[in-house]
Amino acid sequence: MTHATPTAAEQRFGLGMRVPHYSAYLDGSAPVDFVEVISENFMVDGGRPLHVLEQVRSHYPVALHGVSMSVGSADGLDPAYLSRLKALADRIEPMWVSDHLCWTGIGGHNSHDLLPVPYTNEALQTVSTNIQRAQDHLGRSLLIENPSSYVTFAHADMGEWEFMAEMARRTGCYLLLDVNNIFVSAANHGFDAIAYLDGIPADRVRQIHLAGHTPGRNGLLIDTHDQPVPEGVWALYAEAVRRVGPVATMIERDDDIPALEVLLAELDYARSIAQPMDRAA
Amino acid sequence: MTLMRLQHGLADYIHGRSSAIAADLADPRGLAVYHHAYRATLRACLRDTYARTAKWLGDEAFDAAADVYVAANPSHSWTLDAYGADFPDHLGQARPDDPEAAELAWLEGAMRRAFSAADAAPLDHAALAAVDWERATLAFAPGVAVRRIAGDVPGIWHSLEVDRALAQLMLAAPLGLVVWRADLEPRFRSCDPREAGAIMALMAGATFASACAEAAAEGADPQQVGAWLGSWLADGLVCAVGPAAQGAH
Repeated sequence: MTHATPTAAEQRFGLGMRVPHYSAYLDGSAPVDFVEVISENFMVDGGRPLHVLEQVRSHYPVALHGVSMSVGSADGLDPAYLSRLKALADRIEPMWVSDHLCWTGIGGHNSHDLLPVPYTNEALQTVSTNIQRAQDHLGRSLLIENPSSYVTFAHADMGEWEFMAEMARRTGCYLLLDVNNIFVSAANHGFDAIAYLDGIPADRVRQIHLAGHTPGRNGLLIDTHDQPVPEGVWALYAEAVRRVGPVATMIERDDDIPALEVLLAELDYARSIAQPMDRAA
Repeated sequence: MTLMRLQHGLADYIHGRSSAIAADLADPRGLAVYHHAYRATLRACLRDTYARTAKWLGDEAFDAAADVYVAANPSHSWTLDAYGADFPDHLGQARPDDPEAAELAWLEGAMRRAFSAADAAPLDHAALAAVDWERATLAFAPGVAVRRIAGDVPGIWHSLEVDRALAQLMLAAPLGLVVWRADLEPRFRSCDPREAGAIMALMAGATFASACAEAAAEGADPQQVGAWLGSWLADGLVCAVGPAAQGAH
């Protein structure tokens, strides 16, 4: 089955649309190349959310970023969820639809969290089947994001980056590379973030996420999205851009949200890192 | 161990049923992160939906009620939109001495549902002239909700907005409370309890004539019922009228 492919790889800089900044996106005054929204916030029956999104869409390309598809679930996908997502995507005509390499629930219970997948051959088969099913239902190729995680399983057949690469090869999906998640998981699990970047198929990456994190208990880093992008993540971003070339970059900020100008300044900093690399490429 | 068993093992840990999954992890330090996040997410959902109720009860009392609710009510859906829909009933049972808190929570929940309820097609006012009112039924717009209240919920709602204490929590006589959406905004107003009863009957499928008869039996005169109907039509509570009106409630 053929799927609509995401818009071509292109250097763009965007922000996540969060409530305190709605007015700047509604009137088109926010100087960003695209806007990313959480899909589930707009997978509602009607009312203001869809009116807001349609108005924002009239000013900006929109990326639909989901947190509930659960492509790693051994239970398979929820057809009602896919139908809701398809209706939204058909209505909004997004740049692309993305979600995470994770599972969110099993046995009829939902955790509303991005739970880690064991990097085994069995899980790879499950994830690939679920992604293919989702792509067939939506009629478009997905972008799948690497998660941050706080546990690893005792048995693994491969590393996370090898899993991501093979998942993309089997399904034809594209990748959303979250540089902060690589930084967090590398710190939590002791792998080499540069080796991770080297193992990712650069030609499949369409988007990069940047965010901040917070030290938690037990020496773990927590992917909190409540801080500015820290220096270590900027350094890893430079390494990522050097490998994947000009793709869309977006900053996620979900808590302790500052003024829009603060996030725009961070986005300018991302440009200052990425654009010299682009010219050198 | 299969993927299915690993996932049930991690879910069992998150829900507090078993910690056996730790044996299948290379490093179990982070298990507590997921255990905590689940409860924090559901409590935050309740605090978001029932923000005024939390302010009314105070953080400690609200969180105590929320934590009991979360422990007894796992989430079964990919969306949190409907999570805690029966939290007002839980409050009513957990805090029988604060009946106004459960009614306030009901209002907040109804306002939240009205916010993103399906859009209704506009009422065809021209068609009203041909309606046979003896046989007519009414379809109410998605998001319309109604109940009777004993506490001064509208007064409490207002007092929380202006941070002013309320002299009297309970009403001298019961009122009705109706919730709907207009111009994309959820709204509510108090009403005659007989009007609330008429709306409840009509939403359950009663004909307009039988709802009028019931209201009359409770002492409402026909002009009063006509005025109620006029306000429902003007405010957009009703989206279709006629023998074939399809229920949208």
